[in-house]
Amino acid sequence: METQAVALRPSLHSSVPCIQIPENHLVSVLPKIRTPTRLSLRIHYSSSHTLLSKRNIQCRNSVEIMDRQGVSDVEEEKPKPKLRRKNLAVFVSGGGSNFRSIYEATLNGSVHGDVVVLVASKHDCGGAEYARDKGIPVVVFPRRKDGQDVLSAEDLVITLRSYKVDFILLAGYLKLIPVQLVQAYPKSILNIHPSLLPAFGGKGYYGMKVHKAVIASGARYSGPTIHYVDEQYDTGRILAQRVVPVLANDTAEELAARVLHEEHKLYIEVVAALCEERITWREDGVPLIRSKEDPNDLF
Amino acid sequence: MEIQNVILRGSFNPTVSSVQTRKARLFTKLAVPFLSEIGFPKWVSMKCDCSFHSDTKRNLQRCRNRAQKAECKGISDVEEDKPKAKIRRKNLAVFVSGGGSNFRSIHEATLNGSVHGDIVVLVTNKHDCGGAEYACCKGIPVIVFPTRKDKEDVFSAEDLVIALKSLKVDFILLAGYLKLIPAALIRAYPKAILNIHPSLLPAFGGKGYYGMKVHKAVIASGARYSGPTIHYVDEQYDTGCILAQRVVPVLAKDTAEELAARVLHEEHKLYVEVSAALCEERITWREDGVPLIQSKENPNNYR
Repeated sequence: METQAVALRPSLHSSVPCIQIPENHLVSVLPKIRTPTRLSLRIHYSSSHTLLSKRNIQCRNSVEIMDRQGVSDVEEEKPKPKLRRKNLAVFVSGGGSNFRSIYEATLNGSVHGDVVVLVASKHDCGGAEYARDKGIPVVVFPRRKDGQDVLSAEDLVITLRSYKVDFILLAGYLKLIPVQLVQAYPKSILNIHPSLLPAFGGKGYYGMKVHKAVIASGARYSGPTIHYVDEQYDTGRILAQRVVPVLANDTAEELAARVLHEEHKLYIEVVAALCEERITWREDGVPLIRSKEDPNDLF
Repeated sequence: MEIQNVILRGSFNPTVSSVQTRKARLFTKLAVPFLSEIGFPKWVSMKCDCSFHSDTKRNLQRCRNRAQKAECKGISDVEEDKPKAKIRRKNLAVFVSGGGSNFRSIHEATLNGSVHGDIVVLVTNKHDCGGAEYACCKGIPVIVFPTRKDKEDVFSAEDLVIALKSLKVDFILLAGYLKLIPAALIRAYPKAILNIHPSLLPAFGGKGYYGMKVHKAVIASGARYSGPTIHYVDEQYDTGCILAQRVVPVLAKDTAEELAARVLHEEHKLYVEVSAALCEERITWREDGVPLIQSKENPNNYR
């Protein structure tokens, strides 16, 4: 109740003990952003009251979870309560099936984090609609040039900082990440690509085009790759891959479905590792994932 | 016995039947010590260290055995696998630059029946490489191509084509050959030249990507999977249609040597399987130009 009252009253005082989430998280966003107030209207796409109330419930839930964790950590698995839940930003351009998959994993405990904001290149894409439905704030970036308000790359960084985003997960985001974002979040931005990079990657290789190229080449294997993001398309260090066979009579759609199935599983595993701080870096700069069951096992 | 006499005397016994005459003519061409009969250029290697020339008896024995084997196939084809007997044994040329482990693997497979063909010539750019030495010891003629620039006589791409045609080569298998295949050869052997590359093409392929460099690049990239690719050869490095691949994992602590060994193990198996399919005429072409291999066990199954 306290949290809800706090959120509605736009006061910075809070008697809620768990301050892992920012005080008055949602409300405090508005004055902190240095961009014009038009930005705030964009963020609260649905009616602000509805959004606030949904968000409040979420806040309350997360506060309660924190509370429980604080009091009863002897009952939970020991490693998790010592680890802070991470704040995730997901970037999408399309339907957002990986986003949904990760979001559900944050709810069911597989991923020790929360999706705190969705960034979409199109305000009406499937991912954005799902996010609004779940009370997740949506930021549209980049803005169309004919739009009245422009959100610059710096503004985006400020926005993400205000949400205390730890990691950025690109999940079908087709725009190039601005260099300011890459610099602001070093070794914190991941992308998933539907081929075994470095094959069939780079500018122009997205969606069904990838699978068509794979089939046309005669490659007998494909699969998703998750990699860290640098300043070009699909060239950052590879963090994880899975392999699927390409069959002689596959259509691009059939191959896409087989790869997508592995994408969902892989992204959840990787994001879980990310939130549990199980990523380690080899001497040559290749990122490795430490196994949960056996910390000496790296893959 | 008839055929042995033909080889020694360099003439045909007029009483031999027409079928056997044809076979005998074929065997004179295959009789390695008698290269002058087929007008081989002098660049065909005589630089072998093993006791090739001094032990002509052994070579004759080998030729005789091969002739007898072929004869047996002709007479007793009801005893052999029916499909194989109806399918002509193919003549293979293998191109190497190094040790030739794939070459040896394929050669052994031609001897043990896994591959329905014979390696009739080895082509190498290094006359003293491991592959060339093995070929010499097994009585397989060796052609050095391209010749070194300081040599007076130049063996051109057209000469190479003539040499291979004279040996009735059906397929050319590149097995660690580091030189670019000349356009003349590709034109002369369309859809008949294969290469094996130690990565999952198109990744880690192209100019400069060979040998250990490939495996180092794979490990440095963080790729979690690698494996051999066999593809048809066109006029650039590693860009022709992919015919077959295998996958191996790349482990977190792998050195380039460990990965190379894991991939090489799969290379040998894959090249033997593909050579077998080639010789048994089980390669088909999909509408979009991708080559497929028809399964031996189930002809409706393609991979």
